[in-house]
Amino acid sequence: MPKVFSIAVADTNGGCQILAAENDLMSFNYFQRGSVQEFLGFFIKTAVERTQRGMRQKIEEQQMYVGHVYVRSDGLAGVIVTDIEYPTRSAFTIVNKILDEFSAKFPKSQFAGMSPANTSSVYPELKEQLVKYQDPHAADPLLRVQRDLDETKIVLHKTMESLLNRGEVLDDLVQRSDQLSSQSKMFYKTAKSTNSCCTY
Amino acid sequence: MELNTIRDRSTEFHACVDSLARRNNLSNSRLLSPNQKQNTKSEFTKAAAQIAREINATVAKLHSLTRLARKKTLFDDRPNEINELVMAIKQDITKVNRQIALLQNHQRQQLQQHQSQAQQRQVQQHSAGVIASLQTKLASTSSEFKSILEVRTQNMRDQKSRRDQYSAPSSSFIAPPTSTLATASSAMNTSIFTPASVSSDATGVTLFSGEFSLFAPAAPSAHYSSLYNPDHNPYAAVTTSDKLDDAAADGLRNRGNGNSSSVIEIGNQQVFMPQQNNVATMEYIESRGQAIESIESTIAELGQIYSQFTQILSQQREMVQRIDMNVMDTEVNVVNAHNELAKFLDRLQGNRWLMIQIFAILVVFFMLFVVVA
Repeated sequence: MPKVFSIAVADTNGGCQILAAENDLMSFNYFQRGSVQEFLGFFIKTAVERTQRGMRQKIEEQQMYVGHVYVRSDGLAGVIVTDIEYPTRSAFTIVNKILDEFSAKFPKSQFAGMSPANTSSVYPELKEQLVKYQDPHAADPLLRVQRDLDETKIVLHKTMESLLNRGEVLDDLVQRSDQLSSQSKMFYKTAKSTNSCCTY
Repeated sequence: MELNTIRDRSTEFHACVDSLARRNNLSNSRLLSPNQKQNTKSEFTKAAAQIAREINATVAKLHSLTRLARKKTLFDDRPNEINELVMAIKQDITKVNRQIALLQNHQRQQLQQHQSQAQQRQVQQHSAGVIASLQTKLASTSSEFKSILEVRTQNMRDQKSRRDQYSAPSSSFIAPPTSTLATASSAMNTSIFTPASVSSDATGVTLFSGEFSLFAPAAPSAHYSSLYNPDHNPYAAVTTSDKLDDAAADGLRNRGNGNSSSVIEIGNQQVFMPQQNNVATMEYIESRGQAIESIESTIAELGQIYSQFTQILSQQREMVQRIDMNVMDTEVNVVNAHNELAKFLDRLQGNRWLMIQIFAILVVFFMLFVVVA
């Protein structure tokens, strides 16, 4: 089950400054969470600093965690840390969406005063989205469409099977009704002949 | 062209007349109200005449575009003129549309202000009729425009295929700019361009929601050189003749080396075409392209399945009809046989009675003979 660990938005204009961050660290030990959070913050900063504008990057760590970084051309950057199974495409779709929402909601002037602590109160949607995007299908419309199409195809195959069965049943019915009609015809002829033969 | 110098100042005119009317209303209303009504009516007709003039100008431009688009030469294609004309016509159509809507609102407002019953109906009908005729004229113009665009794209496609025959090796870089054409068209919000975006030999990149088609699917680096090399024969380099592809080629040539994105002017809009050189973006873009292709193939399969469905279903319908006929025949036969048997039974019973009678008479005669003898 692919998982998202954290989503963050950072600003690269004039040094890297994290504007908003949400983490989901339920899978870690209670005592590890503090250090994991620090590590995530550090990772986000380094990744954003090392990525050029307008570029995406995918950074793998120990075969277990992946960070997807996208730095937009106007300096706003989005980072998603997931585990390996999460499909790359949905991760970048999520990053795009979140960056668009973020820049629509908060104008550039507010960027100076933001930090993860105080942003989480103003921007609770990030937390909701983190929860929602745990399922990659919810995030990426392409994946969703693919999944729906596959389900539809399965349903159609089943329907085709039942249709073929119906065809066989109908075939059987045709034969039987054919027999019935011929037998009833014989019956009628016999009755008629019985009637015609003995006249007094 | 002198038509470009005609400016639309009817809104200013309307504002002037309104202010004048208001001023007159304040001072001396009754004497001037017939004048007012005439003023507003003539205002209406003036605006309608203005709109009609603009529609005629648009129609003239459309004629010239038709002439240009119908030419079928391979090399004399003047894309710039045609594109300018197309842009101008589109703008004109939207402007006229807006003016007609304005006029309609204006007319409705006027009718709400003046409450005289007798004249109102006539005025209403007249203005409604005028607006309707303007709208139909505009609609016919825009449908002609659409057909011309279709003709043009068909010509472009033919030209492209002919060019491909002559310049085969550099002809494979076709898919990305057409998908950005799809973006530009959906961004520009005209359904007119949809025929243009279904390119003939794109690898299944059909017109889906414009969110992801902003990013051109990755072109292998070999083709960069064919487009980037300015010494190439321009027709071999720019093998795709869509208007966006010229812009895309320009954008690529202007790019320098390894920059992140290029801003390309298309008409009055800008399209970002990131040509990233890093792996993650390529992967992202490629995966999107693949997903789209798989979706398309799945949908095609589904379509096939449905058509097979209907075939089998129609065959089975015949069988059901046969069954129905057989069963009905059986019923008829059984009923008839039953009737025969009933007759037989009757006869039988009747016969028995007769037999008994005859037997009784015979017995009587026998007895007679025995007794006598």
